[in-house]
Amino acid sequence: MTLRISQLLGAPVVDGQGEPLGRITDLLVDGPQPASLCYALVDIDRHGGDTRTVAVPWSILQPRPPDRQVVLDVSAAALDRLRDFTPP
Amino acid sequence: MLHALVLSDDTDRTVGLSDVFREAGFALQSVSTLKDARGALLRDMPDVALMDYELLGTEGLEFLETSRLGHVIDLVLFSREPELGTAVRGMQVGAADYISVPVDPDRLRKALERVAEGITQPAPDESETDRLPALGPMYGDSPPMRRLFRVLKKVAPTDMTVLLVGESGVGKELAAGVIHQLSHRSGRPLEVVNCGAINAEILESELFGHEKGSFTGATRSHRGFFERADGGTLFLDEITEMSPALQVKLLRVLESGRVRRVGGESDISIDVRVIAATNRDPERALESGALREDLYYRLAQFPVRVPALRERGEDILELARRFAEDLGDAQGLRKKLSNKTEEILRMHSWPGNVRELKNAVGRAYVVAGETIEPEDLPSTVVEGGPVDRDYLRIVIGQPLTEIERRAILATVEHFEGDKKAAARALGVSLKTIYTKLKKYRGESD
Repeated sequence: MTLRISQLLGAPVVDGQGEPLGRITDLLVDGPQPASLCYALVDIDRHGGDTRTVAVPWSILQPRPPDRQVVLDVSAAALDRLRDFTPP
Repeated sequence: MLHALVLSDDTDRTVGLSDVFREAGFALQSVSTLKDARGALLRDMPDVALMDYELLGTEGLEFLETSRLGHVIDLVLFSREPELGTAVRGMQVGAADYISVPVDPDRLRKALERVAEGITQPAPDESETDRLPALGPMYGDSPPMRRLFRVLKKVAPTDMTVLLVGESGVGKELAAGVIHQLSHRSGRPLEVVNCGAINAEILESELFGHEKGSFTGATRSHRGFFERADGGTLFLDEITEMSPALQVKLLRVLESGRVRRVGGESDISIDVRVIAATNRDPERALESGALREDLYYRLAQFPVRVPALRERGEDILELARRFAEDLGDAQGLRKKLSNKTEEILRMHSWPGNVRELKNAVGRAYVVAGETIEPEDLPSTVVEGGPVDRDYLRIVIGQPLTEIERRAILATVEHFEGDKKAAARALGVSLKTIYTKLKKYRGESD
C-alpha cells in the first residue's frame, strides 16, 4: 500500500468504533537518510473545544485510504497517559 | 532514531509508554503475535526487542533460545507475573533485562538509555578501523548498512546458522564472507555453493560427496562440499532452489553434524557452520512449498536482511565513485562521473542492486572519454530509470527522504530545469527547491 503524505496530513483519526478522536497534524520522520515514518502527531479533541497534541507510534495507527481516515484503536485512558507533545 | 520492536497484545500499554521510547530516541514498532515479531526481525533487525513473557509462551521462548537473538540485539522481557523462575528462564534465553508489569516508565527509560549508549558509544576495544564505513569488502555509510555491519559483527563470532535474505545483487555472498572472516573459522575453508546453479541430480553428490561406483560415471570417490568445508563455513546460496527431497537430507545433516556420501555405508562427522541465503521472501517460499518449514527454522537460527541498494541513500554515489576509481587504478586512467551522470545513478531504482551498479559503471568506464556522461551508461539505467515521461515509479518500502529526493529531481527534470515551475507543481517554496537541489547535487545556483 502506498500512501501520500498529503492524504495523511489533516486526516481524521477515529477510534476502534469509528468515533472521531482528532486529526493528524504532522509526521515525525527518522533522519537524515534513509528515513522512515516513526510517529504521527495527532491533535486530540477535548471537551470544551480545545485540543492537545500527542505523538503516536506510526505502527499503532491503521490508515484506511478509502475512507481517508486513520484508526487509533486504543482506550481513552491510554491516550490520556500520553504527554502533550513539545517540539524538540 | 534507533529502532525498538515491542511484542505485546496490550496496545494500550504500548501506546501509554510510547513517549518514553520517543524521548529516549527510539522509533517504536508494535506487533501483537510471535509470527509478526519474527517477520519484523527478519525485515528490519531492531536495536532492541521488548517482548511480553506470557505472550511468548513455550514456542516463543524456544525461538529465542535457538535463535540466540539476545546475543545479537538487546532483548528485554516484561512479565505480568514476575517470579524468580521466569527471570531465570529469561536470562537463559538471552534477555539482558527483565521488567515487571505494570511497567515503571523510569525503569523502561533507564533500560532504553542503556541500550542506546551501547549502540552509539563505541565499545572500549573498538578500533578506529572498526568505525570506518566498511566491513571487509562491504562498503556502506547509510544507517541500514551501519546496522547490518553491527549485526554481522555480533553474529560472526557465534556458531549460529545464519539465513541471509535480500534481493539479487545486494551482496549476500560478501556478507557470508565477512561472517566467515570474523569468526574463529577464518583459518579454515569457506566453501560456496549456488544451489540454483547446480543440476538438482548432481547437487546431492556435490554437497555430500559420493563413493566410487555409487552411480554410472562415479569412477572414483568424491569429497562433497560439507567435507571440504570441515572446520570452516559452507555458504549455501539460493537455498530455495534445492529440491524438497534434498532439503530433508540437508536438515538431517544440520541436526546430526554427520554426512553420508552417496553410495556410502557409514556417516562422516563434520564440523561446519552453515550460512544460507535466498533472494525470495522466506514466508512466501514456505507457503509455496519451495522451502520446507523445518529446514527454514533450522537455517534461520539467525535471519539477517541485507538491504537493497535503493534503501541506501548516498551509498549509491559513493559506491559508483569507488567502482570508477578502482577501474581507473586498474587501467591507469581515472575517469570522473559527470554531475548529470551522478543524478541519473541516484534516480535509478537499481533492481539489480550493487551488482547492476558495478556493471553499469564498468560498461560506462569502457566507453567513456575523460568523463563518464549519461550516454555512456547502459540504456536500462538511462531509459529504464524511474522517470518515464510524466511518471515516477516508487517502490513500496522506500524511505521517505529517498522518495522526496527522487520526486524533486524528477519534477525539476520534467520542467526542463525550470525550478519555479517545479516549486509550483510540488507546492513548495522556490527556496526549498534550491536548498534541496544544493543538497542533492551540490548546485550553487
